[in-house]
Amino acid sequence: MRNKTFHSLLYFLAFWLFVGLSFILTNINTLDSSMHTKLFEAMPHSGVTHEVTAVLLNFRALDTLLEVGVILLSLIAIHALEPNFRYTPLSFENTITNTFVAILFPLIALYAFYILYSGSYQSGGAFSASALLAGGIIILRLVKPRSFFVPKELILRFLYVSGLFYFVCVGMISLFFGSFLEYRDYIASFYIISIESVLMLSLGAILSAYFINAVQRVKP
Amino acid sequence: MFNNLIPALIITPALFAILGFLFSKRAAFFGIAFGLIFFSESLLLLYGVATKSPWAYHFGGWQAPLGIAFAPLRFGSSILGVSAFVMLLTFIYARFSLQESQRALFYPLSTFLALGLVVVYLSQDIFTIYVGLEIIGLCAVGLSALQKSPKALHASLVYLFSTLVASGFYLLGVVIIYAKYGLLNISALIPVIQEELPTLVAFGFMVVAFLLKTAVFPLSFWLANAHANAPTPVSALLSALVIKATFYLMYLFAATLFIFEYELSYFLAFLGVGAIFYGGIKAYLSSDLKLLIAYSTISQVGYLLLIFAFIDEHTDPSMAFNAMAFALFSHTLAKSGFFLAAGVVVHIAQTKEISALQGYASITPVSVFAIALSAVSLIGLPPSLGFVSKWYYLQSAYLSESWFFLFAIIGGGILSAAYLFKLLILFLEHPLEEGHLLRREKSHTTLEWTAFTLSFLSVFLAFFSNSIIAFMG
Repeated sequence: MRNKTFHSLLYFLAFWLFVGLSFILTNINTLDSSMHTKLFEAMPHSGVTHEVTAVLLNFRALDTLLEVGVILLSLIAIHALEPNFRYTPLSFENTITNTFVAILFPLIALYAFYILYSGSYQSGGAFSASALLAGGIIILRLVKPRSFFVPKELILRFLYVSGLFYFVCVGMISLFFGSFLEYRDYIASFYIISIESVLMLSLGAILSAYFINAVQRVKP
Repeated sequence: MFNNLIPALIITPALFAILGFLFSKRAAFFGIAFGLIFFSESLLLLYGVATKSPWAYHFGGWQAPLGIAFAPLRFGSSILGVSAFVMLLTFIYARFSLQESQRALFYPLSTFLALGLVVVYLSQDIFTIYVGLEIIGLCAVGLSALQKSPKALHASLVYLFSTLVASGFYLLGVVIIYAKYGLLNISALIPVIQEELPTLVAFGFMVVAFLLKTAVFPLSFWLANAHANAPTPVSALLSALVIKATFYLMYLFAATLFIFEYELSYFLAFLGVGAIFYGGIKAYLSSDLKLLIAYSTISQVGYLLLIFAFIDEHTDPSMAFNAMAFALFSHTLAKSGFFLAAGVVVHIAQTKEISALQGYASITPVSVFAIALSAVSLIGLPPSLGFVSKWYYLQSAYLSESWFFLFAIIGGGILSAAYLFKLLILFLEHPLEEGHLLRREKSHTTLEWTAFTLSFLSVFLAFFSNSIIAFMG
């Protein structure tokens, strides 16, 4: 009983906090900073035409590198919890789902590549593409858990770390010519596209491994 | 040469975490090699900071408002150096104390933890600091889940949700600041920041996030169980390094960005006094050795927060700063040594019950000596780093005539003496049974001496307190 009143009091307070916050956030009068002019001055040297991709993979590439590290280390943390998961394997194998997946997965993979390459001129890029790819792999895994090809653990681990490793390697190469992760103009677009492609594959593998490690433990 | 040290400090942990994860059978080798390289790099950084004029590193060659700038400050770099040293010794300890399956995960995760510490201590960019906090938080949760007991899993789940809520609060603060000023760089923000409602709300969210992550008294509910149930090297890393990172941010932001009224920073100091007594009383009442050490951490965090009582004071603020810095260093060294030594005792006794540990001074004399040295530093007896800290705090409390804090510092010292002497007297009594000597293993000698080194330094470095103060400027 007392717990219930406490909870309703919490909901009440949270509601008014929400109202107050939204009032403050909608009434912020932005101060003029030189950030936008600086961004547009630097855009021609960034190697891509879309601002978000330029910020993520050129101007503030270090943040992205560290975020890739966060995603990889979460996988290691999930490995720490892995022995505690004991679920029976799920399987939805029948003619309808098999046909559906046979058509669906190639389409998902194709669309992931489209999202990846469209990142240079519109919103998109490695993170959204890898999420799509991971979704495709998870569907495939759910429908056909037994016929699903699983490479050796070491090869899988190479795939998991490849994104962060390639990113750090690009940083080390760029150290010879300037600062860490410094690339400009035509070389920048090559680096950005290659980083995004490697990231898509390795993050796709990691994100699907989150799910597969946590939910499905099948020994064929 | 010193300019490329900052990217090197980012590259090294990333590469060694990758190597340790890939070749998990050799994880300990890569971990200890990383510890050595990381410690020497942080010593080089300290040398660079001491000899060169302050410099900033611009990642990607983009100047500050657009790109990300790292700037090594004296205080942050010295905490990084001490952390690297503690990390190296803990890595050596973990090689002998953890099982192989735990080692394969411990080393990559704690190497990533080092990456997060580098970002937090060197970055000048409030969003990059958020990513660093995320790395530290997730590593800490993963590490505390290494122990396969239901209690440890429950504690790490509570830890996960508290640290995620805190990260969310911090990010909300960053978003409001960015929406208002369009800047993320600390030194670019200082001249333009104004005392306005949105800014104050943003800072409020950030302070709550830091309080929750540092485990300051009313928000310290997650700490005791998470630290006490983790494997020993993990407990040492968590309470020596992880909570210091967010405290450093709280101090850095208070000294540069925050524009609070004096009363508000006074409120933080009152929370510190609450923490000193709450942690002390809980430590005195606990019957579990590791739980006692964890509650003592909550109590010691209170001493760090006392600086906010003197930060705007008319008297010399450098005195309170020295007190806080020494409290931080003494706690980092003493607490990691304490946890590592207690780990040896617990391993031999096969129990964490304090009452069963009677007479362990004759079974593991070196660990008990290490615990005694840590206790000297934590209580603040001379000569130790803890004493230097309390001395400066008492002086600034006396000079600013804040009698409440003066008595709180003395009372807190007496309280920690009560629970630590209770433990030490029990250790020095006659042993209950002789059979424990059989459970001593050869590897325990290495474990004991790593713990002893840390505890010894927490006392011995007090003789160099003048040069430490001169270095911090």
